[in-house]
Amino acid sequence: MTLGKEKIIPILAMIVLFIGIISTIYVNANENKEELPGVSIIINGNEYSFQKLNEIFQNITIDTDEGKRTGLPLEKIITYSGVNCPSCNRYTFKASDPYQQTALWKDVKTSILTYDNEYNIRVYFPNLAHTFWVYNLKEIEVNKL
Amino acid sequence: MNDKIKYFVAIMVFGSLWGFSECIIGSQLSGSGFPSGAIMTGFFAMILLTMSRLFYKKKGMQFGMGLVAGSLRYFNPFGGCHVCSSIAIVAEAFIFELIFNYLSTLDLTKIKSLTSKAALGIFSAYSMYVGGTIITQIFTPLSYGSFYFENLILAIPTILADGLLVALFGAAVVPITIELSRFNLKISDKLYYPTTVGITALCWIIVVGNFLLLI
Repeated sequence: MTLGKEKIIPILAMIVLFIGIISTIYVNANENKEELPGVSIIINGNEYSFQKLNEIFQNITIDTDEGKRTGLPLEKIITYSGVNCPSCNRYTFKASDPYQQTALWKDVKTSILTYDNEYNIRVYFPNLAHTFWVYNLKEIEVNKL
Repeated sequence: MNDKIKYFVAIMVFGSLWGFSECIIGSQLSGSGFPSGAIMTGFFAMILLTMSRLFYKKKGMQFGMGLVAGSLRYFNPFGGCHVCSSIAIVAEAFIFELIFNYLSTLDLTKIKSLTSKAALGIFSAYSMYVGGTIITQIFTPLSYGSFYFENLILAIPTILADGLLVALFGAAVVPITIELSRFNLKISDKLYYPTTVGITALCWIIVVGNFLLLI
């Protein structure tokens, strides 16, 4: 390696490490750590506890490429939350960190909501890539197409 | 032995091993809740790419490996958008190739200082992961007709933060791989083709067989 390259590489490495550290601090600082009572989620502007949703809706099982997953049917929950024309909207799934993904009704209606032992809510879409399977889900925002 | 054929076979075997690890090990890690993307790029991809660079000292080889690994990834039923994952792998290989061609030397054993080796690992692993993930975040939603620029912008800090773990993997993997190459692991000409072709075939049979069983 030439002398110039020998000097540049450590500088570039320090820059990316700095970016990584600053981004980690930023993500943690902006994470929505506000404790909602129980396991809760905001859907279409309304807050629901997962326990209540569990009492109202029956679990269903879907096939994913990671195997079978059991959870609450999002199709029914969206209708329950007061969305009149589900197919007229797009649905943005927001995690507690700034990550979010947007899905259309055709995919939302086959999806489920689950929560794990650490009380993280996750959405599973059987027909979408894992990029859309948002975990630590805090809100489902409904917007007109 | 014809050098061109030997070189081509090397691209096939290293690319197939990379693709195999992405398809089989990556899906297992993800299913078990491990940060599969970080481990696959920072560990498996970096080891295979650095090893191939060390053994063959050829420009363009790592990009070729990316094309082979990406093709193999396309046949894997895991993860939804197969084309997007394939493109991300090729992009990672392209980024590695760019960095090692312009910021390093063909003979990695000439890099003497540990700081330079670790720095090369940090910068290349981080750039590969961030580049590959951003490409996935663009192409995957696009392929489902659901790409929103706002979502990509909001994902950038998380991607940059997740890259930190990959950079740390790179800091360890590149110097260790370079050091291990001093053990002069060479395969005799007589065994070269049977071994490399056998490994390549095995990788493809497992991945494609897995695909055919699941459809």
